[in-house]
Amino acid sequence: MSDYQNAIEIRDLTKKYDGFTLDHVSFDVPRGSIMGFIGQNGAGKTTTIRALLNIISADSGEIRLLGLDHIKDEIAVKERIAVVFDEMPFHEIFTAREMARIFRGIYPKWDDAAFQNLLDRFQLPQKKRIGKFSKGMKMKLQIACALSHGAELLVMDEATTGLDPVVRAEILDLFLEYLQDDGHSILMSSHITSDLEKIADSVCFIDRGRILVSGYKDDVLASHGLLKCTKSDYAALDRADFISARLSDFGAEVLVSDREAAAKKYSGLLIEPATLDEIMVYYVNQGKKEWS
Amino acid sequence: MAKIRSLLFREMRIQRKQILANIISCTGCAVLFSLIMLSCRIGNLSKLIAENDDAAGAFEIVFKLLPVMYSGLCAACAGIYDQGLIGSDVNSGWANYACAIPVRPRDRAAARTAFAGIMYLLNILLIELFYAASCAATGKPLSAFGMSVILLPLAFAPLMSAVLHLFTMRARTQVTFKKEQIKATAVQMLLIFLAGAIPCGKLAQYMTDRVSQIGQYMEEHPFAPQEDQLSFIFGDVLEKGNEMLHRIAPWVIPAIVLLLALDYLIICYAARKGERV
Repeated sequence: MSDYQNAIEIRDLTKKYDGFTLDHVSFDVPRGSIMGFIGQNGAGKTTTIRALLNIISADSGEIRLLGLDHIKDEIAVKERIAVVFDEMPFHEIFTAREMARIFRGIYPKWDDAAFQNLLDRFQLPQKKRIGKFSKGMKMKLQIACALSHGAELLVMDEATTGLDPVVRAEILDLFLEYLQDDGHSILMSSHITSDLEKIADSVCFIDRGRILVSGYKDDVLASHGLLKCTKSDYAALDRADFISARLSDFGAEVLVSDREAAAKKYSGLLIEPATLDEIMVYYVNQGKKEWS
Repeated sequence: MAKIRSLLFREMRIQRKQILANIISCTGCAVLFSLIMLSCRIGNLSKLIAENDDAAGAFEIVFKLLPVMYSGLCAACAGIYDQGLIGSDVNSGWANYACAIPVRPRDRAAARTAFAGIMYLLNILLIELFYAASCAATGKPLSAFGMSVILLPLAFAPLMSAVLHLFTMRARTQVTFKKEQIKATAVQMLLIFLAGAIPCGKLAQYMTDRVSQIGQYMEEHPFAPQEDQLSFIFGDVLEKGNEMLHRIAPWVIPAIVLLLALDYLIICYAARKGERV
């Protein structure tokens, strides 16, 4: 059952909508790691997650979760994964205790003690209606439910969006603890790259339904760089050497995908490390090549 | 089974207030109707009935109509839950979330059908209790025919639910839910119209066929008592209607069960073919 290398394997996933196409998306989430799935709103993150959960049917492609086919072994897979959405999907009249009662029957490995521990840790009331919870409390409850049935894979769709930094930090700490167990993996979609920069092992950038960059976060950060130059230096750059350039009155900032090669080729120019945020912005604008 | 129990608990909990409200309103109506009938038998209205033959005839009709009205009210109450459940599932996001948890469409269908079954049983109990009370109040004997035929309006509830489920169970977003709800309502209205139109059409045809006979009778017996005139005009219809009800009566409970099974299959189908947003 647990003999798999990648918690998630997606190959050539394609889904066409009117005005949007998820175009041959492929990536892996190695077992025991956390992958940040990054992209702007409407890039295709939610569509990809919905396809892997079989909430939507893909036009083509193959998806394997925990080594199993996501459709043929749907129930077996879903018993071993947990999902956290950006919006609370529980009816507001329920209490935390009632949610536990519901999930106890749905998940064979539901652990009341683990759930109680998480409620205590997050200081969530058991008998208060969910409708009276704050946004942060709702998200914490959703996460507590997700982490109380021994899930090996946690899939989160914009789960930290809209939360204050304190709550986000608290939740990120919990995810790091969750990952202490070797078999546990996380796919976390977000456009808040600072969170992913803190905890992700690997990242996958998606834009307009296509994967732009995918790999280990440290490798991605190490290989990319922001080359800062004057307008005349910029004019001398080979356009094939950079992803896109932000032009200003003072010069240009250019994202290069091979920092080492760029440093050798343009030895007189300053190349600084790029953040995930910057990498995302420059890749999103690569169609325009130059932007301001 | 544990999954179905959990889902059933969830649905009962969501509809708890609605269930209580329905029980209270149905019981209140039953008490009110029973008091009217009791008054006709031993109270103030009994004096009026004793003194006036026309009033007696009118109350006779009321006695027959009250249980039917009560049964219709209970049927409406039994069918009211589905709309609320589907709507709240879509609004809360559960409709989408349910696709991400280890629950099969048949588990969802079984829980929903079990919930409906419990509500129908509860309403059958209320209707039969009222029927028994009305028999006691009017001094008429309880009959198997009466007990069965009184449930006829309830047989429409699972049919309406099946139509609603066929359209709205596939909705995952509020926009789609509203669109599907409109379609479902249109089909429900059409079914209700057909259910009413067929007997009305038959009656109109019967009256058209007999118009010359009625005219002749009225000419020959211009001063006949109103009761005799009505009996001549509608006697056959009532007899045929009564005959038909006797034929239908044994099938009411099986029809409810069968329609519930159909509803289950439709929920399975609609949940499986759910909207892929």
